Amino acid sequence: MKQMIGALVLLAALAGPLAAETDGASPAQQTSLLARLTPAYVNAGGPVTVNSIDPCPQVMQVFWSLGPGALSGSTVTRADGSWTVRFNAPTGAGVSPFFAHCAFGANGNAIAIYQQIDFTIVARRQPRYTG
Amino acid sequence: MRALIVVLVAAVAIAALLGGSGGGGGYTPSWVATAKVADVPVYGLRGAPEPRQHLASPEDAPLVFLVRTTDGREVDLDAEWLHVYLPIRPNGSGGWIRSSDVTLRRNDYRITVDLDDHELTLRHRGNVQLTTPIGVGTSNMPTPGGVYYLKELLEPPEDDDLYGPFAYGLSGFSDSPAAANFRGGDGTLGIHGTNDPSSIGKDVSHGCIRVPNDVIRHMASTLPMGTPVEID
Repeated sequence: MKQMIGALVLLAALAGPLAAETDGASPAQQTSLLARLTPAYVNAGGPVTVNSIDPCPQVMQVFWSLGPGALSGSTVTRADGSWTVRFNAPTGAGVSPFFAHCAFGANGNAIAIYQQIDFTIVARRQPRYTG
Repeated sequence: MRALIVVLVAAVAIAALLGGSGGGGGYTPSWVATAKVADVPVYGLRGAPEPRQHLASPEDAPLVFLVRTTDGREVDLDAEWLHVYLPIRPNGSGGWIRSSDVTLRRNDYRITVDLDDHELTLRHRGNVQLTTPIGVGTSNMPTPGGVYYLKELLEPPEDDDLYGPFAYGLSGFSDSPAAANFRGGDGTLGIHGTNDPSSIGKDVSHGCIRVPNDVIRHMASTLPMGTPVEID
């Protein structure tokens, strides 16, 4: 345990200087930003809302999709870079992914990329399982 | 440079220490294949010229498969063929599908069911996320052991339903003739909530696994289709 604490202290001490060295380079693309999707389980065709947890770095556009490489829509961020997207879930039950990234235009490079959110679409029908 | 080496050595030491604590050591993710086509051709052998059968997606949900692995080996994501568990009788059936017919997704969740202890455990990346008492099949309609996966999630239209607020369909089936046509179904096993909380912890069902309603709500908001379910 003492070893582990020592190693953690060492890491913390070194992380600062190393980060500072990195800061001197050209700005790196931010990845793995977080957003929150509600409700947790969605009725097929029902309303879905996604709010940013981590904002885009500045005022820009957010491009989002429900499949890799397929643009579903875009919105402009608020002044602080935060954003909200609303859409109706697909009708096919199962798990659907949500992708989003920040950019200055549809053809611009992604400045920041959000972590994929998987949400579950439920089918509203009577189960006939073995009780 | 020296600082970087020290950091790497420290990181390795920490990883070794944490790994030794039993957190999620030896964990291997599973891979879920979701159909991109309405009817998925299934082959008996990798590279077979003709499919053995076709499996159709339900009307309101894409067909999903759990990719089979051998001895915990990683799935070859670039392979042209995938060996998968099939949601058909007999339980444990497998087959080969073309990678081009599905999309692959990694899954870090796993469910294990201990029938004797009436207990279901949900793990995420090898770490226990929840353990709950469950109701299981009776002695003449037992819940069959095996490796299955979550293939669909239904929300019963009526409140106070036998199945509770949500019901997962599993890829497996009851082996008991008495359960084969329960409620007009085909004997598909399920994991679901209940309108009879007193049945939890007992041998009461036709083969399904009953969990408390707060647990099935949590599962419904968390688990991807294709999550492995190991029943023992």
